[in-house]
Amino acid sequence: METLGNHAGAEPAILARGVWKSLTGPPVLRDVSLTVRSGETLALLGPNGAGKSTLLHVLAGVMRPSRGVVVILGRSVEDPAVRRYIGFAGHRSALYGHLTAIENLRFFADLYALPYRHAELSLELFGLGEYRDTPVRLLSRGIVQRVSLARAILHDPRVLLLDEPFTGLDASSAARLRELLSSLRLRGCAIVVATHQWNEARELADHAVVLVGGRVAANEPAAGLTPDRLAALYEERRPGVRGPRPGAPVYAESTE
Amino acid sequence: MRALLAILRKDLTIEGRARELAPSMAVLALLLLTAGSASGMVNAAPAMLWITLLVAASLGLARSFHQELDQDQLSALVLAPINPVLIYVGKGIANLLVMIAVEGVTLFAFTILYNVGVPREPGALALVLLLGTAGIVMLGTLLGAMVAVARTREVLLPVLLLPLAVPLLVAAVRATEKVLAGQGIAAVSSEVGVLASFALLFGAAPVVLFEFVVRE
Amino acid sequence: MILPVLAALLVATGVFLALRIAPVEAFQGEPYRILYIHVPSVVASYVAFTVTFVASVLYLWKRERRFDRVAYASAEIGQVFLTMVLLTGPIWGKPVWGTWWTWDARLTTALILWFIFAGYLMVRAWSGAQGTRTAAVIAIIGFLDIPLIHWSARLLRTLHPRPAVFRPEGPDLPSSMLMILMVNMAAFLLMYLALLRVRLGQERLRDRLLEERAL
Repeated sequence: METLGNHAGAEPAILARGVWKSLTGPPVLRDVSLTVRSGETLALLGPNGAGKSTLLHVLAGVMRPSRGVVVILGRSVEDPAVRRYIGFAGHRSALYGHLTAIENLRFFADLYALPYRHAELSLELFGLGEYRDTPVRLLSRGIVQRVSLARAILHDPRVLLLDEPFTGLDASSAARLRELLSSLRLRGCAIVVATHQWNEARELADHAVVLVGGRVAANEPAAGLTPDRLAALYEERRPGVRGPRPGAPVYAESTE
Repeated sequence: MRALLAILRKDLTIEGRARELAPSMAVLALLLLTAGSASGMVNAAPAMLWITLLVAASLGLARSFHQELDQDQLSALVLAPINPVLIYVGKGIANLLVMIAVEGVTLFAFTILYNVGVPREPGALALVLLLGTAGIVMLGTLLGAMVAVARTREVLLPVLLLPLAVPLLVAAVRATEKVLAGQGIAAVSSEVGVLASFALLFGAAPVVLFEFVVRE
Repeated sequence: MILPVLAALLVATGVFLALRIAPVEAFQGEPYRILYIHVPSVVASYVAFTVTFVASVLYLWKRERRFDRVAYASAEIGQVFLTMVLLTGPIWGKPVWGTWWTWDARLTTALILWFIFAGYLMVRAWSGAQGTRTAAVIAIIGFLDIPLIHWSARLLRTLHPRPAVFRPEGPDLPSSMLMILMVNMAAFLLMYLALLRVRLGQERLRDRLLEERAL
């Protein structure tokens, strides 16, 4: 029963089976299944509108699937006991603009019943010391992104879900994030990173799932990814579903 | 408990810094009272008071959940290992405090504009005010969350709030009328009964329903 | 097919009975006949609202689309019946009491209920699929609030003069009238069910269409 004490290779840390999700109208996610083991990193790729963000919300338990199950560390994601182990950083920062960086982190430390020391450590980890007492609404996007990530890992999660975490990060912050992800991996954290960039995916991840039109178009080792392969997959989408602009394959240039 | 205090502190801090809600609610309330008094509503003073409070509350409560949505903060709250009802309770208490502040100003203007004397039993009036305000805030906080989360337009909040708040409005106005006319607690017992039941209903309902409101 | 036909027949019968066969009421004269529409409409609308309440609870609990469809369809139809109540009320009232409106507890409750229904329908209209949970919660708290609304409306009445002649139908209706009233009640309930069936069919079709189009 006590599956929360996880060891790499045992139960999958993240399991989604037959997940469907509808918001307003047609389903955004269709029959999505995937597994991620402890210590494994999964890259979630797909064109805009493929449902990556929604899938991350569903995996985090923030949204309920219309159909299907999500199991985290052996328990249903609906189980409140499991929430303590999930970290999530979405597209938006989930921070309160009128509070300072440290106030935001301390707030979440309160919610997770952690000593404020964790907030300080998280702040340091992302090199945010000088922005400590600045209200978040006055910070630039890149800094806000770092604070958001600091918030996400504050409670030392065993499962980490990140939606395009490298957006807006400068080179040194991006390097710091990569280091952090490596060390989390070594500690057995299961990580899912949604990204546009195939090279990022290949570098970070063990495995990749490509989402097209809400369906899993491919589920394979990340090493095999190439831009051509991705473009081909994106083209395979059924007519009538929103997809990327026709023409060039959909990958962004690396950030500065 | 710590989480609840944290949420409460967060909401009060933000209101203290942003200063969006309380001033606009107060100004609106004063405007309504003034308009009422100027157009001869002095005879219907208690009704004017409570309608003003309801309308001002609609405005404030619609905004109060907005701060949880602009950066998807609500997701982070829902993700945290806390009972979702604490979000409601924390917000509710914060809203109540803001409402009380606004009410203070409103009552002051009310006594002046409508020539209201001190009632014989001020305790009775205080009770009516307290129960009525609590009822408005409890229902309004729930509706505020619903309207914000469903991305329904804010104008919908008064449309939803007012019919549901009719028992509170009727009871509060009648009770206020009686108390200002010099009657005591005993005379307003049925009104207080309605107010108390209302507060009970809309205190209990969110405990069960809030989780459904807040998680998609 | 049977249901709508049966409902139509029964309504026709009921109307005929109400207009031709029912005896004239002593105090109120001919206008009282509107009771045969007014009262069954009230009953039908409250039944509809109860169905919406139950369906909303089930929907929030089980998250199954079919409960939501029932809640919605029933609310729409209930609102139509309720509008009938609010129209026939004053029409009845004017010749009988001399006023269009009175803050009678039940009429007041019906009016407020109309607004709650309207709010429910507006939420659904303006927020699409995300509004279904919100609407369900409105239906639930609205339903629970009704007793309180009725109670407070009674408080109102103690401060207004009671209409002299208004006598709600009660056990002291002569049996001939009671029987015709029952016929009309059954007719209206059947009408509700028939309309519900049609509306539900529409919603189911709409859902299927959306799903298939998206494939």
